[in-house]
Amino acid sequence: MTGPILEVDGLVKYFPVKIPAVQRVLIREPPVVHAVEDVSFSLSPGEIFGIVGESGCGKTTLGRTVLRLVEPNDGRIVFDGVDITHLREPDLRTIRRSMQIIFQDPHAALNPAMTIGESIADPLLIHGLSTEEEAKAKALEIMTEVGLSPAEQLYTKYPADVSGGQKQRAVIARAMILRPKLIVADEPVAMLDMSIRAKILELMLELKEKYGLTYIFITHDLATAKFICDRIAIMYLGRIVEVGDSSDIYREPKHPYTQALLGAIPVPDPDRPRAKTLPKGEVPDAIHPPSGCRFHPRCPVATPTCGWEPRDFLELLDQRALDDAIRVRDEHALGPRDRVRITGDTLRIRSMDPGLTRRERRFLLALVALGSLAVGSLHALVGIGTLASGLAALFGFDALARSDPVRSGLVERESGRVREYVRGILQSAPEALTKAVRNVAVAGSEVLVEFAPSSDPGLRTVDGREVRCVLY
Amino acid sequence: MSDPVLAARRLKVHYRTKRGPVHAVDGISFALHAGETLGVVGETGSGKSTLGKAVLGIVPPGTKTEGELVFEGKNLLTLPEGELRRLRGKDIALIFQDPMTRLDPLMTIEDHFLETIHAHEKVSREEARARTRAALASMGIPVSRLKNYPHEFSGGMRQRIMIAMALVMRPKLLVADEPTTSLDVIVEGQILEILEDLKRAYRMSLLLITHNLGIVAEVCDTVGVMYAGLLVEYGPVRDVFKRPIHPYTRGLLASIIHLDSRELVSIDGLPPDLVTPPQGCRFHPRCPYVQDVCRTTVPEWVEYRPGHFALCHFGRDFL
Repeated sequence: MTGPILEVDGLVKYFPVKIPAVQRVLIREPPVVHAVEDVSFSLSPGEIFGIVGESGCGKTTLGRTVLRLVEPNDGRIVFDGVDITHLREPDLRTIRRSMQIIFQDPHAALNPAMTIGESIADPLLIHGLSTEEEAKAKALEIMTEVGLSPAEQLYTKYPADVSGGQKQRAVIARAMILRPKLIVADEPVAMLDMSIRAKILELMLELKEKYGLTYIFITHDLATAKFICDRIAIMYLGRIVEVGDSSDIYREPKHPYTQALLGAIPVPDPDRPRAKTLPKGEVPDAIHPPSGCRFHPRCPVATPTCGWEPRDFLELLDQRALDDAIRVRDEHALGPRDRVRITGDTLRIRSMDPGLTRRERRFLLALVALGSLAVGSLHALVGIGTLASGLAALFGFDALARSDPVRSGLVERESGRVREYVRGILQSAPEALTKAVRNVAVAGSEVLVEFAPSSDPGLRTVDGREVRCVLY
Repeated sequence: MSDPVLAARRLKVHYRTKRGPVHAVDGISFALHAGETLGVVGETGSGKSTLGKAVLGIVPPGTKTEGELVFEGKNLLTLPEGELRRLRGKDIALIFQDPMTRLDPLMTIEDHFLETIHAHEKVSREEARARTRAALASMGIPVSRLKNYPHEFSGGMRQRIMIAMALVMRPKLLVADEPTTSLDVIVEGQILEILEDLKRAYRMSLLLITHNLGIVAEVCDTVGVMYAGLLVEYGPVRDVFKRPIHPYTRGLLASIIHLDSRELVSIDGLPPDLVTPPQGCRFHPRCPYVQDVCRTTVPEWVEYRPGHFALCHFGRDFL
């Protein structure tokens, strides 16, 4: 057996996020999109390796980074025994002949000002491998091979004059003309009509057999991947969550995300309307990916150690707020949503005195504005404990709390009340989230909800494949 | 049976182009009843989106329409623009494929709703706000996000906002043109569940235009298969999927790559140019069963089973 044609080890790609100049100065760690994080795999010659995931999971970036169309931030790419990670452009060019890409949108992948034939022949000229006549002859040959016939006639057509399927054939011909060893096919049939998809896939399989190609097949469509891939990697938010032989993965998906993806595919059979259990929500923002297991906020079987974090609690508050009555009660106890802050693994809820109406607060503000109030005389003037505590909460009069026993007692009572309320809310949460809360404590006028620190399970070998999930 | 909410009778929509009229919709008939979902499937250029536009009365100027398109007893094709505008967005609502391009990037989500409500009804701002909150909450969008702009939402949320907007006036008919095509499969499932629930809750009728036969199988009661501007088959979903009549429907069903697929199947050839559609049966150049009569004579629209129609000379042979 020969060695792998491609080895990818610990590949990382971050994209910087555009932020205003002022923020750039203030923030020590500028935000980045975590497109690809610590991805490793290796390909044997002649293999079709599927990279499957939803939009934004990093599958396209991974495909492009492997070809160094995008520069990796970290990791190693070894192609055909050569480490190409830091190869310089002239050397890379030579190697690029052996690694080509087929893009998703055939309508955008061809130069509208070049004829189909010119586009296909162009790589030979760019790499200085043929004269123009030779290039044309080779282009005509490959055009016939990919089903663009009569080739002579189509050679002079422009992309606008041919169908989507023919354009995709032209894109495949252009990738094939340099006789590559590896082709990255990024959603090659997603933009095509159902009735012609099969034709293009068949063509790709034929070419693979004939020329001993190796494919990386990037797709969001698990059904298509099942049909043509030998091995499959399921990606979620920049990471591989499950990788193995496709027959194994389809027979018995291990990762809850893989199971969800498989379950969600509509089946063209009216007699099988399944009771689906779809994961809730959508793929989160890759700038602030969830901690621990990236899938935990959506996972139906998540455990307390999967990485429940303070913002999952905020998410829960938002869900509760969908019911108007509950929203009013929540806000009454916890204050407006922006009173809740997150620091590390801790959620901080500022306590608010609910006894103070807006009119009373405005009245106090006016008094303060008049400058006639000293902290000491306030109590005497207003004469109501709740007002004093409200004012303290409003203006952060810590001094008052320290000097005034009534006030500090109130703070404690109020905080205790909020704490009870938080416990109540947690009872309406998924069990895993509740259990991930280590402690609910009071500190001054804040209620602190502490979460257990999370850890990423990492890829582990289970039944001949690798899965990133604590269940295994 | 009660009168249909929407009925098309020999509906034609011909676009004007430099090369001559494009026969985008060329004489189709169907009926959609209250609380039902009709799926219209077809490939690119089959005329399915044109059908949706005709129902909303938003075909480009200069387009020729013929036949009848009756919504609650009124022919939409001859209705004065003013009356059509009152219907549109109120009794007949539309959701598009790509929600990003259909929301105004300079308006908050709340303003989108207020505009829609005020365009159709004289209600107080408070009343309109309350309705907006309820509509969004029913789609799982937190009230705290009312003042956000479209770009601050994910794709699935935007589509849910579009649905909430379409539904805020409680339409009788919802036209959904590829509502989940730009979404991932899990979010697609979520949106389809929402549409199902709405249908049940309000007895709303849904005209679902899609290329995805899997979706049709899951949510539609009736399905129409379009090819080259014509309905080639129409009937109850179960009949059409289990006992298809037209060779195009058979080919299309076989070409779906699904998890149980055993082989790759495709339909030879390409859909015709609708400026000069083929003589006889429009599918004949691609049909594996083509006979001489197919090349010369237009087939008749025959009801082969109760409510199950097909446009094929040899329909009886495929029963």
